Amino acid sequence: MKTTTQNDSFNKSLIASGGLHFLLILFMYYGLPILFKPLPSHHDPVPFEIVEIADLTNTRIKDREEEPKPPQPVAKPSPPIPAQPTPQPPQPPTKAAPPKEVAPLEKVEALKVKPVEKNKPQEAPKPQQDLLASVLKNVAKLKPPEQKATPDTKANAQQTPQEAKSMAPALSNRLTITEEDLLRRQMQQCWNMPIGARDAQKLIVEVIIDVNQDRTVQHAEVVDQARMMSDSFFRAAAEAALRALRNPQCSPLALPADKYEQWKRIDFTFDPRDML
Amino acid sequence: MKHHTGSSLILRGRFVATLLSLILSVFWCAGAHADIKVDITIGVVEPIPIAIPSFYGSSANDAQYGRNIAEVVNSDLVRSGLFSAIDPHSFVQDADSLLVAPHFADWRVLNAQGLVVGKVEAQPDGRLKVEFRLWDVFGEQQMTGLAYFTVPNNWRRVAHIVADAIYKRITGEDGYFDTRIVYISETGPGTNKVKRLAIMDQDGENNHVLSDGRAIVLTPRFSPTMQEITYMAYYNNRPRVYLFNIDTGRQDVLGDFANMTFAPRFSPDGNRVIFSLSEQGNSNIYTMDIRTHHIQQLTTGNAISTGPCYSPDGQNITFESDRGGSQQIYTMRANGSDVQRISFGEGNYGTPVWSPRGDLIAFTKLHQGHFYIGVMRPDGSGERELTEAYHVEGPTWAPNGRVLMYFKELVSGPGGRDRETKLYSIDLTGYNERVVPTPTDASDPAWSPLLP
Repeated sequence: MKTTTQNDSFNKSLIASGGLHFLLILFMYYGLPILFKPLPSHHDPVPFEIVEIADLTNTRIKDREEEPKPPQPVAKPSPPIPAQPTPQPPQPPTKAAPPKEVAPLEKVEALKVKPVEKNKPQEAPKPQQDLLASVLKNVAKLKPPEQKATPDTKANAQQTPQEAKSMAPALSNRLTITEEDLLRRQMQQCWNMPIGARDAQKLIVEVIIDVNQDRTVQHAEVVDQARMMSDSFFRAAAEAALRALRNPQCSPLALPADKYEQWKRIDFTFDPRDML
Repeated sequence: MKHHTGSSLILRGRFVATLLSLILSVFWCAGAHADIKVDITIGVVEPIPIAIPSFYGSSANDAQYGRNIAEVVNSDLVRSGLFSAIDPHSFVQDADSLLVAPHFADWRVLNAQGLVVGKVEAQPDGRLKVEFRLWDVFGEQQMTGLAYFTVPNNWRRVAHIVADAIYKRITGEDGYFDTRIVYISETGPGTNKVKRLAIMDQDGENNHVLSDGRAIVLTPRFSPTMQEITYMAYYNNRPRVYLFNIDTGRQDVLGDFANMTFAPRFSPDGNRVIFSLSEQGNSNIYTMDIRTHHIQQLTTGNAISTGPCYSPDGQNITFESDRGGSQQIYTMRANGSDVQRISFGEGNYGTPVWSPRGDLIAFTKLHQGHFYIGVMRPDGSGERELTEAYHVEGPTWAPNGRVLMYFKELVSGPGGRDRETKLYSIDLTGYNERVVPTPTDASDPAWSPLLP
């Protein structure tokens, strides 16, 4: 009996020992179990972007028809061609010697030519097609897949449906990501990049614009004025950026009418890095 | 159960806190960045629409010059690929009211971004006064305005100079319209071609033949000082490098070598010629001072090294060589030291030409039976092929380093037995390839620097 008890206790401790060793091996293999799972701490710096998307996301059927020209939907509330409001008589001529720089006339007459306006919507789709093929060309690489000249991401960016409308009730006072995107895509179609220029990757132009309430550009100023004076390449690039901002095809700007306070001043950076 | 409620309470508390901080951060962000920042990293690459109405002239004669000049300026700019013309029929404002002030709104609806307004006026001394202003239509201000005086016969050159001024003002780079091309004019049947040295304006006008065609002439190159051309010619079946003075028509052989000399090119200062000299099946690179006739050998060894070309600063030389087994492009210092191979792609590389801008080297590449013209950086990176054909060769840079010209041989005639050789130009970006009009077949173009 005694031996049985002894045996019994021996067996028990053997089992216990074996069990514990097994556990030990398990711990070694899997690591110690986390018994108290901490709640995910919100102090962790998780990078996120507050992406606000306007409510009316299902209204794109109508937009589709106008897809080639994103700025158009926003342009609707106001007349298609901006600003030359009151017909003014042309100011008296200023005569000056040819080499001299002449002060420009501020405002000229209102638009007279109606028929030409028609051409504009037809021309509009063209830039978008060119855009996908307008990186520096490489014959050898282009040959097998003619279409895949541009990375897909770019194509996708282009095809993002234009859901956001300025008429949609805003979630907050900030511009939503879609609204910003709309503005960006509008400007992409008006910006003729300085590709092929020497050191084109260094020709990054920052322009700050003040916007009128009617979404036309009131004033545009290149930030780096010193470089504009000294570097003719930079001046050319800066003027190309200014032309984009003043292009009638990009006016009025694709901005939500109800958030004037947010976009009365916009800081644009024109950087050809994605196209070189 | 109790515990569960407790934890969910805590959860809820945290959730509310998160939400609060989120909302706060939104407001904080909105306050901190009053400006919206928008990065535009994609754009279009399109010609800039520019309106160039006929230059105004008060007399019929002046007006005719005005029309001609505007036409040449227009075609120069359009041919560059960076500008597009606007149909003159759509112009609303007439020439004389333009001189007073442009009605920018009228030009904006035509989508004109630039507007060139000019005037031609005969002077009492018989010369022409040609003036123009370039207007920024969107910005409604004058970008540049210049006036020139010239003899009437020179109107075409003035037009090129005006086009250069507009090109420079808008792109920031020097123009290249007031330049000439020297090339080899080819006539006769394929087996017995007559090759003459010829020169013309960059747009194909004012074509002149410079040699009589009795000797075969190859690889002409312009001197940076303009009056001279160097080339290789077979006189009495001896291939030699020659110098030719355009103004005087005088021709001299370069140096007195027993062996064949070829592939000549001027140094950037125009004082030396760099060339190849063949010796027992090999060839090496030499320079010779034109005035002192001092000769310097730059490469040695039992390989073919040829096609030398200086960098625009004169510090380096690029050339082709088969020293590594296959024909590749190398660079070295101007004294022949520090030789580096820079082409590593598949195929054979040759005829390297350093861009006048210094940032690229153009080359010809032969790979799997196809010829390519391409560019790479001087360290061999960033290789791009710009054009490809059955046979395309001989790249030459426009003086601003933005456009390349070369010749292409195309199959033609019945049964494809004939070959047609034409000059072409292409933009550095690989777009806008155009035929350069020549009266005959043409090969081996060489672009002059800007005329002085």
